[in-house]
Amino acid sequence: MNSVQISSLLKFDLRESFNSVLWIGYSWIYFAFQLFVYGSIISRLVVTVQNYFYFYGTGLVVLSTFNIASWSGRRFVESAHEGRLRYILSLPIGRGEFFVEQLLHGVIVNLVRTLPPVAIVLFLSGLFSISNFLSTLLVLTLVAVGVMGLMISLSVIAFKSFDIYSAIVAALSALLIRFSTISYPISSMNSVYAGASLSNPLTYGADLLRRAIGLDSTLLVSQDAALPVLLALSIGTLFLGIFFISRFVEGVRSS
Amino acid sequence: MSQTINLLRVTRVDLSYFFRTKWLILTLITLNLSDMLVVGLIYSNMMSFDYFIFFVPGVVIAGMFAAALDVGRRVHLGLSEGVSQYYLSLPLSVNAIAMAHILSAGLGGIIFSGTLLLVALVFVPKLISLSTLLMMPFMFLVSMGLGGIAAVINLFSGGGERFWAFAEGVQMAFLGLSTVFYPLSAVEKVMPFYINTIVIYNPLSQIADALRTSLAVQPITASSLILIAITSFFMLALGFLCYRHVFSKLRVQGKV
Repeated sequence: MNSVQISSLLKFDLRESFNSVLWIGYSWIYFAFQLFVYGSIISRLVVTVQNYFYFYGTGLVVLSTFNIASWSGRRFVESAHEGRLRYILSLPIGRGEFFVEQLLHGVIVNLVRTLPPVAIVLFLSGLFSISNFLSTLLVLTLVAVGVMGLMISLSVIAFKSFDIYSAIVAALSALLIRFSTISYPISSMNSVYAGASLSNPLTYGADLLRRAIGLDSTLLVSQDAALPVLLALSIGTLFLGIFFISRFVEGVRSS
Repeated sequence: MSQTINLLRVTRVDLSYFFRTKWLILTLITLNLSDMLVVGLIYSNMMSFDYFIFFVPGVVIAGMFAAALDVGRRVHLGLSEGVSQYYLSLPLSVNAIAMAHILSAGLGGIIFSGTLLLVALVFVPKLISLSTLLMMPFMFLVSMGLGGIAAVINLFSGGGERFWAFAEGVQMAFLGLSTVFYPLSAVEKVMPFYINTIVIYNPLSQIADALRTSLAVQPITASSLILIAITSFFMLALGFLCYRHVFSKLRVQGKV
């Protein structure tokens, strides 16, 4: 694997992603508004969960990671749609290296954009410590890798139709977020919703994060399943992504 | 007369583009129905009151907001793909083009939210009432007003990805600072009084609360309807002026 090629492409992509500090600040404001307005008000209404505000805060961090990671996946498809991918494929860089670069780019963008929200949530919940902070970042990286791998794998659809890809990704994202324990504990769901939630990797991401920082363990799905599920998702979608990129990615239809 | 007919033709073309954008329609339907049937039901289990009944009219209004705001995306596409330049070559005044887009936002909002309302009636039969029917023209008016907000976003964002970022921010502020998702009593416990005033005068709060009156015993007051009309007209006028500015500039300079 050629690290020089990876780092040059990575530098180029990162410069593009961080060219506006204003937009990064905007995403933090968006997070703060969600937490301090929506989260504060809803937590006044919730009576079944003690300290729902912190539960919601940790869920919101996972949600932000999901959004950033799926943006990274969509960015890959959009670059194909706009013709940039064809140029990159013409460069002397292997498919494997290219996939690793895309992944590293997504992970770095995710870490930078979620650092302040993570710190705020941990400080507010009184759970801030270096070990909690690092384990939170580790869990979020695992979630991000899994989601990015999934979105890049789905990009194979975009090579048939960009519109169908957009529709599937948007609908899938909405369902993954709602049928998960990001915003509510599994004990509040009926059996059908709980069943759907148990087969959703985001549930285990949120679960693992809450477990890692020591939030109320009675609200968690499982003490043991979260880490294996998340690792399986990350490794599985990574291989799937590499497979698709090396076999199918050549260009994309214009509509 | 021909101006009016051409205005309606442009409105029809613009509106049909909204419903032909399959990914967007699928996204809006999935988001709103999953909000209604998943989020609403689950939160109901976590609160001391029937949150589902409260939430369903809120989802209808949130759907109306998203559908009405989409006019900004269509105008941006029209400007970048030369459709707006084509409209300007038609026997149609700049005012008529601006009005056509505002009207299209209103129709998009009312058709989409009307469909959501039909779904909502199945789960909340109490919503079937005269006051709900009475709300329809006001929902159309608010949708046109929200089309005006889309025009303001268009003007200040310059279109492209920035439009989406601005639209997301505006959507978050309008919905977050309203009683669409939570009652005013909960907002008052958390927010300072000046924010509460914004929440009260937010047209989304007014229309959502008016829609909820059919669930309660008290009737809709004339003053609340007048307030909805005034705030909607204000947003509509602002949006009309923004679109007028955009299309006038396009006519003179050939680009925005």
